[in-house]
Amino acid sequence: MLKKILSRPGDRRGRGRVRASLLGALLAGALTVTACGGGSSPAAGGGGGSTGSGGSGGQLTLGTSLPLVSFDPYNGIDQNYVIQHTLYSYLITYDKNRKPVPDLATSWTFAPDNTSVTIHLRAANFSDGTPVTASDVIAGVKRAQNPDTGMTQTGVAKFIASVTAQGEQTVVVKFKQPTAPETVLDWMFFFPIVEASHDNPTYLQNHAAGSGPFVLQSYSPNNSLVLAKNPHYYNPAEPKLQSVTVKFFNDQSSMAAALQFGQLNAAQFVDYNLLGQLKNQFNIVTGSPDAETMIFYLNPTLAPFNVAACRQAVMRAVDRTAIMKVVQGGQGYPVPGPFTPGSAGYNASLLNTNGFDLAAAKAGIAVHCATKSATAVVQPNPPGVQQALEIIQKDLASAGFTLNLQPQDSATFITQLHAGKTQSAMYPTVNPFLSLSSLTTNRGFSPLSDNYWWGKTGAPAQYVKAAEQAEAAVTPAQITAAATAFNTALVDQAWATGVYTEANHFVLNKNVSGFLTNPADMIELGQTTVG
Amino acid sequence: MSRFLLRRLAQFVPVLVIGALAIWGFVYALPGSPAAIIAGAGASQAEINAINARLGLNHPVWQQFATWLGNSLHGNLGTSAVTGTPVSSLLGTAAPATAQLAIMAMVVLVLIAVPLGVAAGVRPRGIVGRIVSGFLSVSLAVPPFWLGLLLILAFSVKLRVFPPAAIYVPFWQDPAQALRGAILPALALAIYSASVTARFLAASLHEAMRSDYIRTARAKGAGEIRVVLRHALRNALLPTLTVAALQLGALLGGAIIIEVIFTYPGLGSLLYTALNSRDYAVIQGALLLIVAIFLAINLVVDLLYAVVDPRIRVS
Repeated sequence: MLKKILSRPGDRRGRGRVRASLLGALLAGALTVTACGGGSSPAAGGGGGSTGSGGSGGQLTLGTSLPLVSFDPYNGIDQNYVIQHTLYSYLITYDKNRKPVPDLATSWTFAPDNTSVTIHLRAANFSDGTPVTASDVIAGVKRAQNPDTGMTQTGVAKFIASVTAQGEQTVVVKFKQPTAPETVLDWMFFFPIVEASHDNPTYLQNHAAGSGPFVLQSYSPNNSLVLAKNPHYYNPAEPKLQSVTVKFFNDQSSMAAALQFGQLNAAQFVDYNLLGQLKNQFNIVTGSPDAETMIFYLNPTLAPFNVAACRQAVMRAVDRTAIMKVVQGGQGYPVPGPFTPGSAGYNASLLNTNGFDLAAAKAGIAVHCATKSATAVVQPNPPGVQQALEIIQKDLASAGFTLNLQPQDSATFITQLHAGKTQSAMYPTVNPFLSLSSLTTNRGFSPLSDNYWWGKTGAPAQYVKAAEQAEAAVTPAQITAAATAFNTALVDQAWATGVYTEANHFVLNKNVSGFLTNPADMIELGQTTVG
Repeated sequence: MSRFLLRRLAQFVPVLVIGALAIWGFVYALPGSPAAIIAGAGASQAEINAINARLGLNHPVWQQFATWLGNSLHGNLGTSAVTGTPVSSLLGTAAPATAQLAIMAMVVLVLIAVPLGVAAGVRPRGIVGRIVSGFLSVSLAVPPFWLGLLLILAFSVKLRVFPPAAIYVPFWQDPAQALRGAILPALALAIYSASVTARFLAASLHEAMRSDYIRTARAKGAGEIRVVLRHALRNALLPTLTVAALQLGALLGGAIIIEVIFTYPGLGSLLYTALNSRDYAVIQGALLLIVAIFLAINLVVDLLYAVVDPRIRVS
């Protein structure tokens, strides 16, 4: 073959037929040999199509495109969802209807005047065998109320005045003022129990200290995380799985390909656009219909949005139905504000009175917006933000307003947001809350000077008063009145409007069963089996 | 030769220091901080300040650089702000993976580039030469990342032959698994680089084949294979060596997108994640390692020249 290629024209006979090159033969041979090599990958744990082994529940290999930031459950950001309910237990959890279900708290009793709650803890142990006691709850609340270390727990625990122990297994939580039970239950739902001696951000950056159904076995940053069954878990019937391997992906398409190849048997938060290629081969599970609400924000401290009437006009150009159809195939609910249909604050009529109306948007923009252009930041997550903003951009263009879209990565986005320099953006807020006032734990809706849209200007008095009213509301009548005041303030001030509730998707191999998520779309694998 | 070697080695340190300074400046010019990523969008300014204090990021930039430089001279490259893992440990895990992938890609590159370059260079106007040139033109037009996606679609999704999420298994532990786990990213990396190298080799070889010494060799009765392989190719390899060495450097340091697409746990993936999370120590350590590798490769190429070309050895 080589001789034929290299031969001089005069020496060659029978020209015309080109044979496969020696290189191709060698390469094909090498590829054939390697393709015949089988076995599962040590990094993927259960890859190559392997499913249950080593125990009755099998091994789950779960793909995620969200990088793990730390093992600190106080940092309740989406990236840490994969460890929240696997490595840790909480005081309660919510079922699908947002009814409280005991977790580490077996029972709780509110004082008749709603100024305290007495919580009884079950006999349980942390993953190192240390018993869970009242002192762990007390240490946790103390940490939550420290603004330097409380992270996402600070706002949720702000109603607490003190926590004291009554014996090893009982705590009494006293409130700063009479507080609605729903607010307290929301705190119990979000409050992770961490071993007191390790309850600090430094230790929890790369160690776990929980009492959840799994323990940390190994972690290779940005590559894989292996969780093993917790032998000390309080429920002997759970978890059924022997281990969980979490594989991290930079790209959703790669994750989908890994599912189809058999390297994964489940994946979380899969982009809607990929479901079409997966639905025949896998089971698609949609999470809570209102775990997160997509909110569109306008900065009220920066022109042209420093005029409330301009903001109101721009918000009339948000076509929720069209956005939902494009971004998530019509799944989810259109929402006029941050409250979802399950919340006391939800008011469907606002979709009619303050919903999509291009004529009203055009008229309002023409009169009230001094300049008719602005910039909206597009961040990479969650998927769908860009598409949603493009639809709003197109509608605003019809209304005579130019909305420029500027991509930003996460680090830049968060920094600019905190600095109050973001003119407009869209991102989700977690909202599986029972109570109205829990919304204000989110910095986009805080009535305090830490609201990163209102900044040092501070939220307007109308909204601050509504937030205080919500915090003080205890009876149903008070809650209804507070909801009305809240919604009126949100509509009048119009710096944030709800667009739709996000539908998060989980893709599962056909042999995976018992895969559950809670109302915040955190995975709960206690009853999951593979095979 | 030893003086040459010592002189080149002595150049390493100032180049590395200047490189470190440039990298530091570039990294700190990026907006955002690791504290923002760790704390999340909902964090208060107090929390971010506390994280900055814990990580030492609240010190002046020049002080942070001086501390880092002093520590790195003692082999301490710092700790990842996001994961808390020592940077040297992260690099120690990622670098061998990338090195193995790069070597695999280089082997594929050579296996593709040399035969194709010879085929195109010896008889560029023949049928084989034209076909090969056409193939090289097409493969140069296809970006490696797109080729990577096509390979995943074909070999992982449709044929289910190779895994899409590339797997790093040290070659000495399980050669078959090591090859199977990383063949797709190796191909995606190698094909473009091989086309560049083959083109270069073809041009050099074509030039060499028109030289007087080739006519002399033929006149002396040497067979065509001997003429090409023993005489022409050897001379054509000299400039090609430089190109191939630069490709190796690019494979080692520039495979970021391929490693991201294939989720391969190498330097590229590490750097990509570190850039997104503004993990300064990891970015600094990884980029510095890449600079050092480039310097080392350039030195090896210079030494190899002396091996391949006796004229350089004598001089």
